[in-house]
Amino acid sequence: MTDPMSTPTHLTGAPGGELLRVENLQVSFGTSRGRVHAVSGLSFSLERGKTIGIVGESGSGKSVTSKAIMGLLPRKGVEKSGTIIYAGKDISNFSGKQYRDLWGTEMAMVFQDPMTSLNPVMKIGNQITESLRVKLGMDKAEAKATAIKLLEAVRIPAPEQRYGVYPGKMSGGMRQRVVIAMALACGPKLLFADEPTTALDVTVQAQILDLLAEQQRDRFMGMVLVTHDLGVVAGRADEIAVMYAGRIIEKAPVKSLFANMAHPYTEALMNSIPKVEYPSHTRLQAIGGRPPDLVSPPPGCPFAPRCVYRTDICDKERPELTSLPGHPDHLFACHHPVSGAPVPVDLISGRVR
Amino acid sequence: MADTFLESEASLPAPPIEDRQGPKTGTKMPITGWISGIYLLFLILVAVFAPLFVASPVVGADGFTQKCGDGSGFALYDPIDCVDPGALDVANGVEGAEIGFDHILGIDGSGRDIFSGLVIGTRTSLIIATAAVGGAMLIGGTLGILAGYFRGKVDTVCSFIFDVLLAFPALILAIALVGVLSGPDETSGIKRIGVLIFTIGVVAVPLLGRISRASTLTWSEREFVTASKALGAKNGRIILRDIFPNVLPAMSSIAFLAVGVVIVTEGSLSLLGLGVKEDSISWGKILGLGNDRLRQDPTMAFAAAIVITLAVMSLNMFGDALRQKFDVRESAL
Amino acid sequence: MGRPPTIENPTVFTPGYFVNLLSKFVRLALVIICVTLFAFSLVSLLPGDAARTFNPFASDEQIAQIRADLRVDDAFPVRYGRWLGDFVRGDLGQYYGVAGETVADKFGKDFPKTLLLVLYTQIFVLLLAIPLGVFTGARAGSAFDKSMNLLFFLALSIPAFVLAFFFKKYLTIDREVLPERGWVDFSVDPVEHFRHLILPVLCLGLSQIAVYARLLRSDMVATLQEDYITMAKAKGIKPNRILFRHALRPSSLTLLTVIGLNVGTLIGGAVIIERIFGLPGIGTDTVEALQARQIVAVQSFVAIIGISFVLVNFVVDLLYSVLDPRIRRG
Repeated sequence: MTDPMSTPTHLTGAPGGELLRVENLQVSFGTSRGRVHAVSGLSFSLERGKTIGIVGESGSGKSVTSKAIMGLLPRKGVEKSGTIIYAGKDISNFSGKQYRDLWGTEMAMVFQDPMTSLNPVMKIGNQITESLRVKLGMDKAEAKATAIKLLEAVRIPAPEQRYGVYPGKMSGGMRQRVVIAMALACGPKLLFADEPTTALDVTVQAQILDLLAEQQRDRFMGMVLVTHDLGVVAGRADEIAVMYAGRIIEKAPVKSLFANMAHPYTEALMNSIPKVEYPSHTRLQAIGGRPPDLVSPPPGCPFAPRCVYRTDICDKERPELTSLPGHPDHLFACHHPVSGAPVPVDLISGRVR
Repeated sequence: MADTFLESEASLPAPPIEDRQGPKTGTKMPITGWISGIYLLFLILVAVFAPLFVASPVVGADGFTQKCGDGSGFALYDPIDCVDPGALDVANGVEGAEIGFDHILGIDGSGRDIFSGLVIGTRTSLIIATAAVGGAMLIGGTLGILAGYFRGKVDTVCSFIFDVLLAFPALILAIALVGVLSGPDETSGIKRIGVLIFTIGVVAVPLLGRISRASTLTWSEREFVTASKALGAKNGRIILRDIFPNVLPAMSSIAFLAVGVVIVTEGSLSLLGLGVKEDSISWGKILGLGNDRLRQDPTMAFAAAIVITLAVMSLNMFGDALRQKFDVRESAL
Repeated sequence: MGRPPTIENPTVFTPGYFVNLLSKFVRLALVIICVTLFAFSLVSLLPGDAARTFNPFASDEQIAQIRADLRVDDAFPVRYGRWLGDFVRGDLGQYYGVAGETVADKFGKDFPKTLLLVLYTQIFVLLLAIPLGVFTGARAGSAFDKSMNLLFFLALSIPAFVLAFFFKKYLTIDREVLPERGWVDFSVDPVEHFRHLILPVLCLGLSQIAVYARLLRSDMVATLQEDYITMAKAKGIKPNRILFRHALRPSSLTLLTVIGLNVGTLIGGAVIIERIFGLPGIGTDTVEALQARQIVAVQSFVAIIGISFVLVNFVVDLLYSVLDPRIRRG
């Protein structure tokens, strides 16, 4: 991928340096039952050209986090606090219009379901060229040429023909490629991928993830990869944050996480992934119970009710994020960290060996 | 228009399951429903007791004081009995003339009291409207339920009938039917009222038929209908016991809207000279007579226009209120 | 579709598409036949002597003439067949009483006027209803939405003739702001042409604005919940562009159907408006023909209005697939 079109040089940032920093992010929604504390005290940072994986089960606040950072949450009924620094600028109090200037050119998002995230009555070509023309001011011919290059870059066969096609005529995998092309169109420096493969067939999941990783590398973008599947981020992220009940409960560089897994929840997530050596029809280890009610979160460790290592202190006192001895980058929040026996993960494929 | 549409619940995360237990059961009728309902009840009372409401004594042509209308079941507006010759003389500037009694809304070109006309017209207009809509509900509703329940050929035939009837703009169809059904030698006012009821009923059949068909289609998919079938219940029994009671609410809320449409249609036909005959009075008739006198005296046209508008408004309001109420019932199941 | 058949667009040309289209045409033909049959029988199944009905004061020779003209003694199917044959050939019969004028002449002269009135009304209504529907949908639940909803309710509840009375009284009789009645051809005086049609269009269209805007509003509210709207937003597109470029088209399907259906409502409403504002359209003609007991003319007018209405709805049905590529798959 040395095509100049696919990597506009003016859009690539200098290597290294902090792209995004989130400090103490809090998000809550008003519902008829009271306020739901979807995200509480979340902090992380991301360097240019790096990928952070946010992992958690549904309802853990991982999707809300990415929408909150990007400013896509509705304003009515939603309370957001904390600091979001993007490329040195504090964007946490940006207005709708200020955010709009960031969207597309600075940050973009790939959504979960490609079946619903493309407009069914617009040709895909027009959906891609729209932001090129509106945001970058390209003329019609230039935008079309760029769009076709983008379709090529996301490996869509016969891009000139697909250009004039409606989304209804494409498969889910192809549509997700179009969505990625749309997100990449204006050369964003930060890409959010919100469960980008959850709605797809297993057979195309790896292709889409590899495509995302490849584009992220080539364009030197920062990427926030949100998923419920630890295996998905294993080979494709530089750092992983595991979320539970709106909080980060473990955060570490990939190697360290798999080598010194400290939180019982991370361990449980790991055990719920099917392993290659399992005989077929092996029952997977599901995590029993349900996540806590976020309207009135328990005072102690939120995972305590489902945790096999629970003691009395877990119910009373919430553990703070602390670093693992000898690993300053490896943070976890648990009173009874697990031994951290290294998990044999193939960091290229994400499969557990 | 700022980003307010971005504020819709679109991107809110799905509420917890407890939040989705559907609407609260037992939703009361909205306040607009009560207000409009009371007004409609008032109109019905006016229609029933019309002759009593016409309190102003009328000097008949024979010199005796009597009340407007004949006081019998079917009030006809007798142009002779209701004339106030004194008032007409005053209006025409005849010297020494005296008004027979107070005319709240004045008199028309023949000396008839407009207020009395409106009151008695309420009876005629409501009879035409309710009879037409009632008949249309009976015929259209039956056809619609049969079409929706049996589907297949029955549905094809019924839907086709509706399609053909709907192919004509309602008012054009009504004009043609009235024109054709009332011969040139027609004299009886009662007969014309019958013609109007029939005509407007025919026009309303496909509208109500389609509603009941659509409603039946959804209801006959429900588990309790399947259960009845599985238990070996006869079709007639299922229709009467399971389908009809459930289709009726939707139909009746539409029927109120239809009564409003019919009142307007009656007014339109009168404006075209195809309404009730000279010996009877209805809101539409006053409207038609008022239109001819708009230049001299707009009171008559405006009075009828306001009465009709208020009636249509409260019928629409009441229909909407009923629909809200019944929708709750439907989704609560 | 002007698009060349490619591997990407195969569904447009599947056999199922043609079968579907064919069955639509068969149904169309059947409905049209029934419409003519209905219009014909409406008049022909009248009790009594049709000739006498035509002209109650005619002499015996005239009656005989009309009878021969109508050939009323033939059986019903024969008469219907003959009438249909004439009808298809454009022979709509004689306008009795006016020497030499045929029904077809009168129709050709006046039907375009009604169509023009209906067309102007549709344009006027859409120009107002589309932005109103889009913005009330975009701001659903806001004070703006609620007050518009109240206005829509009022507009729906006020009959056209009531509006006409008030406009006429205050704008043409008390103050001569606008002409009271009559028709001026566009070719004669464009300004007067429109001045004469302002009030008729306003009266005919006001309630339809509410109908269209309400429909569009509810579809917009549904569309704005879609993921592709969030996607467009995340592309950094401005709200108004999202509303009109992304959300309007997928929301306008129901509206399109109703626009088609409404042609009938408007032609019906036009009868009244034409009468009140003295416009010589097809509605006025039908009423006049009826009052003059020109039964043949009534037959033809009713049949033609019915057929044109059916055709409009048929075209709307076909337009569907152009507007929404999702339907083309069916």
